[in-house]
Amino acid sequence: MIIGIDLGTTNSLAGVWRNGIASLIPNAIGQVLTPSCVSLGENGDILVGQAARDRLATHPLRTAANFKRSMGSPKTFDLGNQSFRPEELSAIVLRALKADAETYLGEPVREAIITVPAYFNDLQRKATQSAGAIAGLEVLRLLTEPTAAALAYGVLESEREQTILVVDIGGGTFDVSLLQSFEGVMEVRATAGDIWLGGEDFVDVIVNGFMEAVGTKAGLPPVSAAAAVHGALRHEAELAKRALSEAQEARIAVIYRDQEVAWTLTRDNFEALSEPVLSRIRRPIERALGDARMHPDEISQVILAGGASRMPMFRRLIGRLFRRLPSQSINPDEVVARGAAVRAGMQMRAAGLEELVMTDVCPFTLGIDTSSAMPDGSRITGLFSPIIERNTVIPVSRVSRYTTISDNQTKITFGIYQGESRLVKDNLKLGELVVHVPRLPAGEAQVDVRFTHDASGLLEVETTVEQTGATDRLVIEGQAGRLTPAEVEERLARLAKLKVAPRDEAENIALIARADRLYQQCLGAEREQIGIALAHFIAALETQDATNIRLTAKSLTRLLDARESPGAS
Amino acid sequence: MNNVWAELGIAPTADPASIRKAYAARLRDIDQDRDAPAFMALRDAFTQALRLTQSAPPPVFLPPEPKPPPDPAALQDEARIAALLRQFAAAELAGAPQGALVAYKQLHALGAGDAPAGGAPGISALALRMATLAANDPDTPTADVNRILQELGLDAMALDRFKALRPVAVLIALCNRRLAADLWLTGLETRAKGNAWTRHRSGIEVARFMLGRRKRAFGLHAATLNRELDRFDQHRRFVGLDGPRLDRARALFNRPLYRASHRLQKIALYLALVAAGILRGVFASN
Repeated sequence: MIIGIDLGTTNSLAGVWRNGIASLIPNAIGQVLTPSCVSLGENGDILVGQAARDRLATHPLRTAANFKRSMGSPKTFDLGNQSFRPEELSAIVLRALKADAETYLGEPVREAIITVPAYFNDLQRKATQSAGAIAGLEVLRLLTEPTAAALAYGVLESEREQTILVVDIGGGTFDVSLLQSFEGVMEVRATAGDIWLGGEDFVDVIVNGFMEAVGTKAGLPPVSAAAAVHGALRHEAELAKRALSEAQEARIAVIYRDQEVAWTLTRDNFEALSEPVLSRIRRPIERALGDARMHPDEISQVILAGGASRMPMFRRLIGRLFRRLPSQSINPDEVVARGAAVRAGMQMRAAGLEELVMTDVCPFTLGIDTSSAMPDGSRITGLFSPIIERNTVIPVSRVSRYTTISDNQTKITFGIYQGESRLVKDNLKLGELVVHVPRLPAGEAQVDVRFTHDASGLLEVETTVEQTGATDRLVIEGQAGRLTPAEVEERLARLAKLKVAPRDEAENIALIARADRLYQQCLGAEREQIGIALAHFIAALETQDATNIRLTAKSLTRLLDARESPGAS
Repeated sequence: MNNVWAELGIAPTADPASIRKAYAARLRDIDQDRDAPAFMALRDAFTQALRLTQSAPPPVFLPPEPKPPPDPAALQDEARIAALLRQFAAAELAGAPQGALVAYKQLHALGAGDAPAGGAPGISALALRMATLAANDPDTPTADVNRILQELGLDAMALDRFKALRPVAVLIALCNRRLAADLWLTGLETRAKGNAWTRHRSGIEVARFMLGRRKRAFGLHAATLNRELDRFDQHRRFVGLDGPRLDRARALFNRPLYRASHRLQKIALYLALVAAGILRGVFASN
């Protein structure tokens, strides 16, 4: 069985194609959304999902979130006394999803299709693949998120010939893809995006607004200090952001030194504060349309995906840009995972999907570092020479020929870069390849450089020296932010040793974490009530009496729900 | 070229839909992951075939001929002319003859915009636009229109040389103001000597004008108009106007009143206008 996984910045989901429909897999606590959070418990257990999300407020130093934004970078996260790379944290989430899928399907799961933001670069894509490998999954293919969203919608009406624009604004990334579907073929025409734009940026807007309006005055430490109170503040800001999609105003309150610090944010004020973030949405859309040589009027459908697309101001902006109502008939939190499940079904050649084919494009221009000799003998170095242009349909293979610029030059160093800038220093370096050439006068030794981009968006480079016929493949040396296969093995072994909290206790652990968080958030009688109920519940857990556990859990849940239901605060 | 169609498995066609259909059918048989070369070959054929369907022949790029570096002064003038032309067009659009005249004079001084109007040597297209604009603007006093016409060198002599459609617009505009009736008549007479096409076009203009604004044509000599209509009739087959409408125009101008003396017509017009004025006053006071 192949599963489709949406490995998101905020939430992750797993889906599977069964009986002709895409179904989402519930996790241990019965929800399809698993927060992409990892926390290290006091006893050394690893907690994943909702429990870890709740501990973000109570134990910020032992919890990691938003690590997707650091994929492919050398950054590490410290949880207690252990340090983790973003790949490992992602792998922990993937492993939890895998376990959920195995329970749900009743059979082992080894293969998966994982979605990535369309605008993820090669390093980030490889890091995602490594994360899959560390989690013990064979990643058959990386699927871009907007394409997945289009697939989720496309299955419903693949007959019609249409042009679809997908605008996917997730927790941390923003993607735009322009797709064309005809005769059951789904073709990506162009992709653009911003990997630093998402729902979390709107949370930042609220947090900063709060600090500016009341936080600093009340003596809260600055956001950069990452104090426990900020975990709680972020949580409140997230709730306020969601509430403002429905309500006209929301109240944000945190307890700091036993004092309540509160701020009321109106929707208008939120929209005014968000203007700088919102204005960054326009450019990628314009670029995708320009690359595909399309006019906004030629678009037959606009699809919104990603949780942040629920915000009225975002929907209004898209409506204004395209003068039509965007489609959002599938839950925007789930649409990418459903699409991944469809893709998994296609990979399995499932009934009902045989007729569906899709093609994708590479999001960035790929090329190498070149120098140019001027007539006066001087040289200009560091020029970017594109080999594969952005938005070329993949898989693709392109070859370019390069020559030496000095007499008796014995080797050429090819720097491999990804990006749109004229100078390589402004592009992303993916690797380097040293090619030995025979001693010849300048310009006579020739090397063919072949770039091959596979269907998952991963790059392979091969060089052939014309004179000797020697070939070389890209070997990445000392590239920061990338794991070698040996390292992957090592991380796999390390992760296997980590004790993950047992799955059948997940529900109880999540409940305790939530009660802990609310205990810290409340004051006075409410706080005491939660404390007593929690103590009862923990005592019940120790008796291991199933009835008692169920009863105390029920009363604790009711208490927490009352505190968190809208209007309670 | 042949292997493009062989790859797609269809006969050469210019129909993008059938190319897409063939591509889709072939694509299903290819495993993109395992057989990338087959996919790339198909993909290339597909894009090439689609490109062939585009109706325009592919553009041929010749190396640009080396140009002498442009004179900076000329460049500056060019930019100024472009700016003035924009200013003129904007004033024209806004119906502001004074603004347009300012731009026109500067353009004239720069020697720009003096391309001859189609078939009217000595009169520039821009001057005609200027005249039309001034004559059509109800806010410009008649004296000013005359002055503008003089400044543009548009007198009866110049109008004599009018042979294209565009001057007709000026004439009608002038006639709308009910001034310079002889200017108008001279223009018509002159154009009547022109070629068939010009006569035909002016005939249309005259007929349209008369059908639309017959009251204002009272001041014209019925015989002249009738003659014009006769000529027009000869070229009717080119015309969008149908027989009945033409007949109506003719009937209108052949009424006894029009056949009476010119003076009588003028008196009738005057009385009619006075009556209309009184009536309007009565209605307004109610």
